[in-house]
Amino acid sequence: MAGTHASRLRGLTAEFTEYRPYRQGDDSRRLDWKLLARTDRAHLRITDERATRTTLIVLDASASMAFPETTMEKWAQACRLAVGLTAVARGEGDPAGVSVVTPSGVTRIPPRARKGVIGDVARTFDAITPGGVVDLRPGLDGVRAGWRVVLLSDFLGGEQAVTSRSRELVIGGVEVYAIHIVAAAELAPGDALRVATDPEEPGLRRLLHPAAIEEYQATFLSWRKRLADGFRQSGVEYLEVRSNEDTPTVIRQIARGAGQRRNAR
Amino acid sequence: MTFLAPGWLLAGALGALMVVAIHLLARRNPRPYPLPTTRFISERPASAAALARRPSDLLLLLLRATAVFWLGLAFAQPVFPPPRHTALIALVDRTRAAPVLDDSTKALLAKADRVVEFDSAISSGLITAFRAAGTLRRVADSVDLLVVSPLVREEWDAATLPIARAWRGGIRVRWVAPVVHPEPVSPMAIDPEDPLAATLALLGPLPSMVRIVRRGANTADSTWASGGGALVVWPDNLEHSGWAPVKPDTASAVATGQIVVVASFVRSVSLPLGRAIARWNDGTPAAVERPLGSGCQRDVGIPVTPVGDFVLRPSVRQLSRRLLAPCGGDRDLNRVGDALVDSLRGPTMLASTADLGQRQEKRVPAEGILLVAALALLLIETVVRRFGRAAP
Repeated sequence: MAGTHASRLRGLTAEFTEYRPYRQGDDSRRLDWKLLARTDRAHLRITDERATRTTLIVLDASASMAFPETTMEKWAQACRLAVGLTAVARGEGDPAGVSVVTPSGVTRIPPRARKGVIGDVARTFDAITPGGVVDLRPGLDGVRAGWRVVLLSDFLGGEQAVTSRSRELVIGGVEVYAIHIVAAAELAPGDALRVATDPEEPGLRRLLHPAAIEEYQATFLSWRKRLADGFRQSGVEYLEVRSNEDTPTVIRQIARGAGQRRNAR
Repeated sequence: MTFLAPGWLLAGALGALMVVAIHLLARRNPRPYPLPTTRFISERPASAAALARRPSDLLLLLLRATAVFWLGLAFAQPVFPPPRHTALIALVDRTRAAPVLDDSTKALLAKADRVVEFDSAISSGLITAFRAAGTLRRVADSVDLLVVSPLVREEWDAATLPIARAWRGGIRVRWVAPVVHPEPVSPMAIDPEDPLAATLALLGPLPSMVRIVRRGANTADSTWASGGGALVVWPDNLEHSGWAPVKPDTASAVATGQIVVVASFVRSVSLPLGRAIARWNDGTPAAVERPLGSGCQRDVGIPVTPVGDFVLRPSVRQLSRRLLAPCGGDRDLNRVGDALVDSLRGPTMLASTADLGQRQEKRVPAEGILLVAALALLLIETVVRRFGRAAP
């Protein structure tokens, strides 16, 4: 097996780590027969296997990602991060794929290790305009144990369901990253008097009043903290990213986090 | 400042107040703003009155109210009365009293003051002064007319008093001593063989400020004449005079004033341009005079024939006396009588510019400026409003 990741699997081949006494139920193929012949003691040969880690990037293409209306900063940042992370995974020899969740379904680029996957991902994003309401969970279908999943979303809508599904994936041996994209205008919407409308819920109209800004910011912060805590308690690596933040810096931060996590194991 | 239609001023003020009232009282429907995090905003009525206003709102209010008020102000037709100021018009005899008007004296004049110079008759100077007074209506409400002159008889004519009486105020008179030009050098002697010499001999000594030249004037003669003398160029041979030759013809008489000399003259030149002081019987000039510095040059195209008693005739002597007179003829520098001067002064009050004709108020420019300014404000208001909308 190729790759740079330390696999959780202990196998028969590759690098030797240690001997362990044979226990009932162990695979007899892992017995070190030579040692048994020499010492008459049954020991298993334990090895570390080096493996590739399939990376799946799940992108939220809901209407809330098309903010601000004029620049669609959130969507642009998500696309840049997705392409960047695909390139990083591809650089490590890992197969990388993308699932873009749109209201009409999931646009998938299956994980591949070939060189052209980065271009495929970029072209896929060009053809998609965020809009409508989406559920991220279908984007996670088909994920297998040992994969790495990166969620790129603002998690505005169905966040509880996504957290629960992420927990299930983590338990199932999947490494999950939740990259929360927040626009600067969401953090500080200005003090102009306007009626705010939710693009995913047109009936929701609230008066954005200068006196209400402080309360809004406190509520929004509290929600973000709860979201982060929920992900982290589920074993998900959570990172909040500003839509106007430097993308390469964020990618390095995510890659460094993944590396630390790998070393910790 | 007064207003021709003050009702519009009131309407403008009320309009501006209404703009302020509407701005303060109107309930606004705030602009919709798609915000994905809307759910984190606390619930309030979406059509609440805009109690808190942005600086751009206050700027808009100021622009709108000012534009409306300026429109009212423009339609009210503001007029600006002329300032309370007395302008001085100094009527100065340029030739006889010039030294009184040097640069230091002119520096003392106010901006509205005028200096009117004349060099012949006071009557013509007065007419020019009246015209100058008409231009002062916008800058002064009264005019002080001052005549600076030696008031000699030669500048006083029959029209002086009637014209002065047309002035709607008093005329101050400042008498100055007449300026006499310095005495020119002695005249050049004439050739005794010249037939004109006989006539001159009968006339007696020439005035000291007259020089007669029979054979071409030179630079020295011109320089002498420009100092105040009368240079009489009377060629003894007209064909060599340098003047434009013409086809020779004859004339039967030459006249100047009441003096007529009847003889058979041969005309062969055309005289240069100038004021005719003697004419042939067909009206063409026989002698002309033109100014030369402070003096003059007199060109005489009358041939002097030595034949017969022509040069001895009394009429020729009289003609010669006229042609050899100082520049401008004989001068009378005696002062006019005090009674005439008192008549010139007239009443003691100043003339009002309001009496000098229809007063033209500065109404139209003010209206135009106010209208343009109001429209400019409305244009700025549109830009500010759009910019405010575009801003988050």
